[in-house]
Amino acid sequence: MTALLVGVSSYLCAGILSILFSRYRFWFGLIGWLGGLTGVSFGISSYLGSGPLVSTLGRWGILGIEIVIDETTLLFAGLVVLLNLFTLIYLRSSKKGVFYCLYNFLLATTFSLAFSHDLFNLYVTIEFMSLVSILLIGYERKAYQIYAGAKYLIISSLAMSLYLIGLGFVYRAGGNLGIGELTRSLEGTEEFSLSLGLGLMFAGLAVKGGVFLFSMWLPDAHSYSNTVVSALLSGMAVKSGLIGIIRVSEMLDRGQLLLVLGALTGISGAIFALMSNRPKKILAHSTISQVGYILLGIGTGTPVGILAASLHLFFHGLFKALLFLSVGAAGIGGSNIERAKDFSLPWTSKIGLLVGSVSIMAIPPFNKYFSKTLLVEQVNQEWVWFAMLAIGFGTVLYTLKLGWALIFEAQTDRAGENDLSIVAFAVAVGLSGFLAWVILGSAEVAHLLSPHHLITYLSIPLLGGLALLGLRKRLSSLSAPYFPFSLENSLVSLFTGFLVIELILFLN
Amino acid sequence: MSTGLLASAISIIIVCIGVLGLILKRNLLMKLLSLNIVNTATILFFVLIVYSPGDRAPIDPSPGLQYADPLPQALVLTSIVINFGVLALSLLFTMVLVKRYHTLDLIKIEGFVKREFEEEKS
Repeated sequence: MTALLVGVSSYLCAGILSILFSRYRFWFGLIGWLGGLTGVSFGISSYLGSGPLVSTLGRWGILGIEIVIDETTLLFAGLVVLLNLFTLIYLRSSKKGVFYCLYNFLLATTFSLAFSHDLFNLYVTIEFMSLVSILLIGYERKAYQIYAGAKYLIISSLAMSLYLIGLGFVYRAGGNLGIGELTRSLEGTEEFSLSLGLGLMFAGLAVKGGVFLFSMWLPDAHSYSNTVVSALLSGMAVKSGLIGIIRVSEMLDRGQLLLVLGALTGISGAIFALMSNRPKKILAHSTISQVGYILLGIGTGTPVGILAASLHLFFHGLFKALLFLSVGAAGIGGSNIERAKDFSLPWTSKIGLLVGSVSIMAIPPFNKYFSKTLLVEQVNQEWVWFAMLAIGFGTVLYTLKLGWALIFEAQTDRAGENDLSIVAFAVAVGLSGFLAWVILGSAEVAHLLSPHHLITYLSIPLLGGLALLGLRKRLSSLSAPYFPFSLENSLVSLFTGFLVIELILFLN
Repeated sequence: MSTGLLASAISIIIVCIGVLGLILKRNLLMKLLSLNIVNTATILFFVLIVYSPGDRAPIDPSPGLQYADPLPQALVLTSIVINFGVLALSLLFTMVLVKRYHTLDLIKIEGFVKREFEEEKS
């Protein structure tokens, strides 16, 4: 409980103070970060002392709000704190006080979301988080940013209404809102209204979590906004919906549904990423594709599968934020990579891109290799295994397309003053593979690094590289269609996705 | 027919009307109105499901009475506030877009926005 209170209150204070005394905004941000770090350390010490813990906030017995401290909580809160540190150093004092206020509020809501274990609390934190992130998307007041923000606002508000109706159904069936209590009271109940409610809740969270068919707002919002905002949105705001899905699956396991959605999301995200030709668009579609892995991990339903999904969520947040910052620092986020020869990137951005690309391609000993291999290990159905291989292959293809153009074709420039923070971030991302060793233990890591695994998973990048050499000309001339992502069609696809969810729930 | 079932039926019908408006209307303001209908129907749903043990206000301490459930109403207050925030913010965004393009037609706005982005980045 101390962990949650310290972190959230320091972020909120930092936010309010940085709008009141905007001269010292950087230092207030730093104080907020220190508070967050203290919160996470409290959480880690509590976890090491007594293991995963669900406790109740307030003195009202089961009416109090449940909070939880487990691996998912700590990984997500740790991700928030790490991203906070590096984006803060990258920002220095370059924006106004209002930006720092919203930035700290975003961190406060995501931090508190990590701990929440109550369906309504999830709703409030997610809704507050999306309001703040919409303000951040439209911060520079450019028309395309405002439009992307409005699209996100309309779709997410509809989604949260769906979530709320679903919550009503689940509340009627279970008589409680805390997920721990609900797990006990819903044990063995199979009702029509419960299934409908669960479908509605999944649909609402999927819109927040970047699931294909639901999150068609995502590519625009993530690629049109300011660099730091894109990094934070892709790194942690999208994860809020996934944390919600993890918590709801704790309550009622609907593995098959998540497996189907995960495979669909991963593969279609990779296809769209391959067809896009602006760096930030590619990265935004790549976020959708990586969400697929996380859903597949949650869908396995085993504790190790959920741990692997949380680990993947953590690592993805780190390397995706690094890629967004590197691309944004060079100022080429919206340019077409067909003209990559005219770009000039600072060498710091190239290092960031290199580390990020190697991480996203899951090459050992970089971080994603461990989470992805652990995920593949957990799969017990053959078609899921093939889906994962397909996502991996697509990932390698679009990463090589992006990385080749930006690292090798573009010219190298001198670094500005701010850009050195990217090198620090790149080093941190490069070293974060060791965290897998800390979390999983040396025996598991040695198992993941055994020759059998190395050969199987290194062959995908090799094959991808060969395929890219053959297809380079074709790939660069592709362009992704825009129509699935317009507001009306994304509403229609949200509706279709909801029907798909209900269909799968009823068929099982 | 139980009150709960009737409640869910009525509010889900209203939600469907709102969603239809949201999908079919091209005017941005009409879209926001439809969104508000969906949000209000959600609130209606919560107001109606409280009558599950009984319909008495939970303030009379005498035993043997069937009380309405007070918790959903507390939840609804929060969601009303959030809906207000969403509506205010979306109207602000609409205002900015209308000031810039002098139209409420979404398809036109989408076209303008896309063209502007491509011009700026090339």
